[in-house]
Parts: sequence; C-alpha cells; structure tokens
Amino acid sequence: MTEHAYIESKPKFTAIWIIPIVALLITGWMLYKYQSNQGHTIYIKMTDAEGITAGKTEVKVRSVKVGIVKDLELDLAHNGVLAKVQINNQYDELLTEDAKFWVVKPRIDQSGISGMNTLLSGVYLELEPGVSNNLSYLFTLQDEPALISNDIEGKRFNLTAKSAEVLEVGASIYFRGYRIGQIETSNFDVSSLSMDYGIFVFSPYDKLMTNNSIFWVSSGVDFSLNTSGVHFSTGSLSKLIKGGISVDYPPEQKPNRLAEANKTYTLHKNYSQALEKRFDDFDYYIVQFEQSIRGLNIGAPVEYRGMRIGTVEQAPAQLKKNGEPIYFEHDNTLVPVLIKIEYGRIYEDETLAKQYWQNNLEKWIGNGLKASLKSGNVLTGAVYIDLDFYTTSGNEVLVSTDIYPVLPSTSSGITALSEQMTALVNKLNQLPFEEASENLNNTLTAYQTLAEEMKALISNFNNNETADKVAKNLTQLETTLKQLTSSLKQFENTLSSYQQGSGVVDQLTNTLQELESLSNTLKPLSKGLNEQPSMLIFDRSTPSDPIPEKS
Amino acid sequence: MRTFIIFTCLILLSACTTGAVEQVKYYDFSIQNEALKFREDSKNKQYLHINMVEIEGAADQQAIVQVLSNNRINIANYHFWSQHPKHTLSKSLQASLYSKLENYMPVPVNKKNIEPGDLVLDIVVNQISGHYKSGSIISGQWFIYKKIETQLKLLDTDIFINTTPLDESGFGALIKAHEKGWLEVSRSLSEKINQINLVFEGINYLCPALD
Repeated sequence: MTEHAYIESKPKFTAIWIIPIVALLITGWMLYKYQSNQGHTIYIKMTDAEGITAGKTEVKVRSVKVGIVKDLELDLAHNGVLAKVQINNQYDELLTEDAKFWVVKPRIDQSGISGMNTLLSGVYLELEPGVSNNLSYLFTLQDEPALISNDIEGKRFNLTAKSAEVLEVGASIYFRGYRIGQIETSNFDVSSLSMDYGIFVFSPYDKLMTNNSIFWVSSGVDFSLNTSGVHFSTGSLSKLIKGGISVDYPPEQKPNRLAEANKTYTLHKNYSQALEKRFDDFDYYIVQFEQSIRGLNIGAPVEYRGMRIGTVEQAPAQLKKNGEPIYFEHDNTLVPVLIKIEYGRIYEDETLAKQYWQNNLEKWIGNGLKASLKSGNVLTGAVYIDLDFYTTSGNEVLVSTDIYPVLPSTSSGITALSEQMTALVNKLNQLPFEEASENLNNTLTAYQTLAEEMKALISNFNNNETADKVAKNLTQLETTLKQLTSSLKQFENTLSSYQQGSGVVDQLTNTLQELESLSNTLKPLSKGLNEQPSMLIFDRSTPSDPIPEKS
Repeated sequence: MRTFIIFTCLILLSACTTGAVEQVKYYDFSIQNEALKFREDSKNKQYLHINMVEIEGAADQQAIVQVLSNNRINIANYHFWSQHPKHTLSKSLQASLYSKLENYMPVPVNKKNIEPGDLVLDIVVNQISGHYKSGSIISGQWFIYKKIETQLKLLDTDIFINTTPLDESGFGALIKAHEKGWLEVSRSLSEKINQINLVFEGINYLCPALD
C-alpha cells in the first residue's frame, strides 16, 4: 500500500518572528526616548574653563539643575574655550538670545561673601533666562554674575564722571540715605577720558529720577575748605565703608518731569560740586583788577550783595590776545579774571533770568555797578568777587571785546584804603589853614562877647520876678517833701508793729510758749503710751520710780 | 453673742481687780520771799537781761531725772516738775540775782530794750539730775555779754558744776538739793558779775571812749 506523504507547506511568516520585531520596536522606542531626553545642545564661549569639568559641571537656574556640561574644546581661533552644554528638554524655553551664563564660585566683594557652597560641590554655571522670544544656541560666559535679574522691575540710567573717583560695580545708589539702586556696569571711555557707569534703579524708586536730579559720589566723608569756612561731615558706617552714589534734587527745588530710561546724567565729585555745576545756562565775563588777586581761587563765588550769581572760572584768566596772555600786556597792569554769571542762580527760570540780566546790565553799570574783591574767610584768606553799586565813581560802560565782555571793577581792601588815604592827604593839602585860623580868631572873639552877654543876663535873672517864681516852686516842693516824710513815718510805724517787742510778735511768742508748755505736759503721757499702749483701757502698770537715797 | 458678753465682763472684772494706782507728784522750788522785796535803788541801775535758762540733754523735760548706780538714767514716771525746769531755774536765778547784785537790775530778756552798757546773761544747763552717789548735780556754762554800741560783746564765760548731797531720801529732798545747788550757782554768778562791774568801772575810768 502506497501511502502518500502529506506535505504540508511551511507558512511564509512564522510566529517566532514576532519576538525580534518586538525587540526591534522596543529598541527603537528606547533609542527615541534616549534621544529625546538628551535635550538641546548649546555652546557657551568662555575665556578659560577654570573649575569646569566635562560631564560633571551642572547648569542651574535658581539652584535647580537644568543641564550639564558635556564637553570642553579649545577654540584656538578665538583664544578661548567652547563648552558643549546639554539643556534638558523641558527647559528649552529658557534659552533665549538674551539669557546670561556665569560661573558660580566663591566670591568676596562689597556685597558680601557668596558661592561658599561650591567649595565642596564644585563650581556650576548659573543660567539667567532672558525676556526675548528668540531662542539661541550660542552664548558667551559673563565674567561677573548678573547683578540685576531680568524679572526685577526698575529703570536703567547712565552716569558720566570726569573727575569723580572710580566706583566698583555693585556699589549702591542712595536717595537721602536710602538704597534705591546699584551700579551695574562701569567702563572707562578712553576717548572722552571719563568713567561711564550704568546704574539700575529699582521700582518704584525709578519714579524719583527726574530731569533735575543731581548725582554725586558719597564717599561717606565730606570735607571742604572754601570761602564759607571748613565743612566736615560723615555718613553712615556702611556708606563710609562701601561708598556709593547719592542722588537728590537741588535744594528748594521740586522734582520736575520724570526721566526716561537710559538718560545720561553727570556724576559729580561731591554734593557741593553737584550743586555748583548744575547751572548749564551761563555767560562768561572778564573782570580786571588793579590789585593782587591772591586768595581768589577757581570756583570762588561771585555775589551781588550776598546773593550768589556766578562762579570764578579762571583766576587769572588764561586768555590770549594777539598771541600773548592778556595779563602780561605791556600797557596794561590789570589782572584779568574770568567769571561766569550763572542765570539759574539768579532766578529759578533761567531763561527769564538771562533775559533780565542781559537787558539791564548796561543800565546797572551806568548806575555804578562794579566788581570788587572781598574777603570771604579770614582764616583761609580766601576772597570772592562782589558786585555792588558805587555811586561815587564815574560812569562806566560795559566794554565788549573780541573775547568776552569786561565788567568794570574797583579796588578794595588795602588798595582801596591806600587810595582813600591818598585822597584824604590831597584834600588836607588843599585846605586853607591860614584862612581857617583867621576865622577861628574871629569866632573866639564872638564867643567872648556872647559870654559877657550871658553873664549880664544871669545877673538880671537873679533880680527879677523869675527868681520869685522859682522860690515859690521850691516852697511847694518843700511842702510835698514834708507830706512824703509823714507818709514814710506812718509806714515805719506800721512796720514796727511787726518788729521784736511789738504786740503782734508778743502774741505770737506767747502762743508758741503755750504750745511748748502743752508739749511738755503731754510728754509723760506719750512716754507712758509708748511703754504701755493699753494704759488707756487698763491701769498703768509702770514700775515705781527709784527713790533718791540720802547720800 | 454669749461669748462676746462673757469676754467683755472678763475685761471689766480684770480692770476692777488691779492694784492700787500710784499717784503722780509734782515738785517746785520754794523761792524765799525776802529775796523779792522792793528795791528803792533800782531806778539808777543798769540792767542785767537774763535769757531763759536753756536745758540740754535728757533733763530737758518735766520728768525728774536720776542717774542710777548701774549707769542707767531713770526718767521718772510719777514724779515731775510742776513746770518745765527751765522756768523754775530762770525764776529762781532772777530772784537770787535781784537780791545779790549791787549795780544791775535783773530783768527777763525782751521785756526791755537792751541799751548800751547793759549786760546780758545766758546760761546753758547740760545736767540737772539726781545722782546715786552725789545727791544733786547741776552743771553747765554761763555767758555774760555787754552791749557796746550796737553789738553784744562777750565779757566772760565759765563752766559750773555743783553737787549737793541729799539731807534725806525721797524726791522732795532731791528737789531741795537742786534748789540749794542752783542758789549756790546763782550766788557765785552774782559775785562774778559784781567783779565784772568793778573791772569795767576801772576801764571806763582809764578809757572813757570804750563804753
């Protein structure tokens, strides 16, 4: 019997293939998951990689890990290091183009000590997210931490200082002693030879910044020596140590329009200089003195009857005329001084003050307005320029030169005194002494005649009715005095009743004696009560007195 | 209520059962009447102004004071001066001087204006007491001033101490001893004043401007 083999065809796809397929899918899913968890890769440029280790140094935002430094490569073309950093996926929104990175490591600065925890854990990179909507993958590592976080509200301003001391980043801004901001950046501008500071004023104090705000360096110690005397003041201890910048409004001025962000202010050396330099609208004048200007310093005040209206700019004036200094001209011995009339000092509205000054100056000079040197401080010998009206001098005019207008001047101090003495001697020389002596003789003769007439008049007075009237008045006066004497005697009698031996005093004495007697009588009673308080109720149990014995 | 009534009765009964109460006795000097007789020659005399005698210390009170043998001071509980002893001593002194001074009329101070030439007498008694051994003790200091122009000038001063034994026991004898001792002090004082007067008369004779 022939049996036919049953040939069963093999299935094209066996179930066993499911296993590798599933393995492949799992592997693929794992690869995808791994790749997707890798996050974004960014690159950070830095000058060196001090303390940063690939695969270990973390990137943190507010102490939360958001990534890790994967690799470090030398960037020879740019003399730096390029760090490859992996940022976790969920934090990709932080990688805006204005985000900042810096190394957190132990630091000691004026704000204190920070980053001490990195001594053990190692340094890490701090990421400060920005506000931009554009993402970036290439960043530059900052040398210093960002002082002001982007989420802190406030305004940024610029300060320019030409003579102020150099301040460090992080120094505070004070408004009347209260900290309202700090210095963010500081740069020295080589072209203008000035320090440029970027400051940040926290909200809501940015509303204090107006167009008339003045800034000055508050070193904590303020010392000045000028015509007003010696001034010395110190600030708080923290300000003394840290220093900083002060901002305020000029005295007796209210804040005006709010300042826009990034406005540039001038940073002055101290408060007094800030007050002086704030007057931008001024005109220069020359004053020529025929005397020594010793003691007249740059910055000395120019006053009109005690009111300051300007400042001495140059003493002597460093001006040239025909290529030569004007104070060494052959035919001119006057010493020129350059002053500036600051209209803001004359009146708050500078435009109005300028117009008023310029319209009336020639008329005032015609009326005798002149400049003179006055002693401002005897101790320091400092002098200032004083404008005043001198009516005794001749008419002057405002001399306009090709440099600056010249204000008329007059001598003062020893010079003025010598001039006055010379004038006095000249007058004395011109006096007609011979004529005067003749007049004096005539006058004396007239006085002699007058004395004889007076003598005759007194003689008549003694013999006429006037003397009788005087005698009557004297009699009345005598009667009045008698009445006064009588009144005084009555008063004396009244007083005598209160003197020793008088009735009142006797009565008082008797009363006191009776009181004394009563006191003596009560003494035994008080003694008994003291020894036996119950004697008021019970009989006295006081022991008998010892009987005095015969000697 | 019953308890209160019983308590009140007991108090009243206890008051009734106490012993006999010792009576308080008062003493004074017996000033001799003959010393106070009228003196016809008083008009032409100068005056001796006697200030009230000052008593200092424990004797400055009406109770009679004794010094006991164990250095204790006893201030009597039942034996008193009839008035403060300073009054007794002052009156006795004035009466005694009245009879003994020859050229001065003693008057209590403040009873007449002190004129230039008058004398002023101050006496300070710092002890007047009985003594267990000495009997009566009176000690102190006197001061005699003279009015010269408007000021009082101290002429003389001296201390005095007088002890007088008791003739018999008892407080009456002690007061008698006190009186006797005080009269002795007054007598010696009057002699001193009479001597002062003689000295000043001599001085006035030699230096009339001094008076």
